[in-house]
Amino acid sequence: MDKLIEAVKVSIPYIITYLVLILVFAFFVYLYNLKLALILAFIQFTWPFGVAIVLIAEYRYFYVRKKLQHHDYRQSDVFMYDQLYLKELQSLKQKVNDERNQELLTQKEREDYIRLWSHEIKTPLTRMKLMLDDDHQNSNNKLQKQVKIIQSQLDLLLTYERIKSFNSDIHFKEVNLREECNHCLKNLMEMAIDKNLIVQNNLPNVTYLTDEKWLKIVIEQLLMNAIKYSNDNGQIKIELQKNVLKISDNGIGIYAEDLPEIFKAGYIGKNTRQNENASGLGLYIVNQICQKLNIGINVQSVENHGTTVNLSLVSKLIQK
Amino acid sequence: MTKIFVIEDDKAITGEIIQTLNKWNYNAKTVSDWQNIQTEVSKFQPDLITMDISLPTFDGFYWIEQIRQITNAPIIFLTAQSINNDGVRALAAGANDFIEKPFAMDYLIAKIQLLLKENPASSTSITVDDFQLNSLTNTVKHKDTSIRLTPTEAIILKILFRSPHEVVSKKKFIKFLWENDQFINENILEVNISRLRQKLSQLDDRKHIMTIRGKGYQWIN
Repeated sequence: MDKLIEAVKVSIPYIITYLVLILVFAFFVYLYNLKLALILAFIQFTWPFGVAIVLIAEYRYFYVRKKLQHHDYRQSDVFMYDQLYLKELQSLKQKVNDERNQELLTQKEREDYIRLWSHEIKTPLTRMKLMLDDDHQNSNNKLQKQVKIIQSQLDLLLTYERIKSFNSDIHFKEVNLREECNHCLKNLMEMAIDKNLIVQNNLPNVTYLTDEKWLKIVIEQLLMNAIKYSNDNGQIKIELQKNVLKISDNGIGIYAEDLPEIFKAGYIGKNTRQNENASGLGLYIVNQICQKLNIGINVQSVENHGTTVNLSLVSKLIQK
Repeated sequence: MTKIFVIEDDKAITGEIIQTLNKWNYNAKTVSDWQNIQTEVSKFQPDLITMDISLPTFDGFYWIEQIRQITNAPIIFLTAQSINNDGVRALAAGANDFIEKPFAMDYLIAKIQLLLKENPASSTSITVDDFQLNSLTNTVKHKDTSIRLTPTEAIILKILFRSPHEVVSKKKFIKFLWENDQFINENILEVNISRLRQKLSQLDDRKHIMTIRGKGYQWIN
């Protein structure tokens, strides 16, 4: 139906032109006092030409229309005016492709560079850590903590880059949740001991089918947040209620107006202390990974009371 | 002396590792000719090898294969990032264990001791001054009397026994407890120390755990 309307629209200028031609002829017949039958003869003689012109116009119109539908911008098989437009379209398309390829190349170069850079920076970090280990002074615990902060920011950056190729990077296996949490806690030992924190890992001995390395990133980030935003002498609890893994702390909490925004990249809550290192990437990454692993995530918090992060484990948990 | 071969190209890191290994009474050496690693390994005949993933020629994975052709000595692999599964790849290539950079020397030493089966922590019984601690059953025995300890108390006593008559800082206790999945803080440590003291007093009148103000705790006779 729409095609019919379009076809009619295309024919209108030609029909109008033809009618004007007839009118002009009629006017001259009148002017020169010729027989009126001449007009009729004129129409009888010229109408096939008119129809032919309209048909040619329709054909041209629908031919170019089809070419554009198939993104065929070759100019060899069209009329002159159409050639102009098609040529412009072709060069625009080329430009867009070039820009896109450039973007992809830049992105790949950047990924490669970041990977290389991270390997490089691990070297001075390792040196620092070993030197600090060697030198048993009271102040070096603070330095050790700083080394740990650098290391975790580094890992966060690399994770952020790596999420882009998530789907080709996933291997499922039975992961022991309790052991995984213990492992993460030991990684975060220095930060936690510094604040004299207690952690209760009340998880039962169950396994969950998921990708181990991505889950580890989620758990470690959530535990790191719990430690970061705990007060001195605070307590962190890890437990499993029905199919929900809960990580809770009794620290500074999150303001109500910040809660809806916490998963946004770069978002840092108002309740973050000035001297705490926050990049705003941690929860963004956690959320991205949870979505891809099909784990529901939900955060409850009361300012100055504490925060609980709930991970809904959809797959079956197997008791060991 | 146990021989350890360190395959690492960063001089500062190599220096630190060898220095610490020597302190722990190992005979530690590093690569002098990167073109002939295999020859050096077969000449030195190490009891254990540590190897970094990034090396000047080829990478750690390649060298693991090469070295496995001439020795079965345990290999500890130093990886850059756990998310790359380098460690798992290393195990598949023939390494025995891996550790992620940056790492604490204590951790490396512990792994070395474990692989060489000389870890005192893996031995189940430690005896100091007539007191015998069994870390499997968590019991401590003195002159034919035994008493049961909680896992936390047993670990605390183990730490004291590992450096008898030396001061051990609170931080060291807490760190060691955390490494054994006891995620406690100072207050709980103090509570456990006093409970431990009470239990020990059932075995012997003399006080054995002394508080050194500002420094930590010490086992005395």
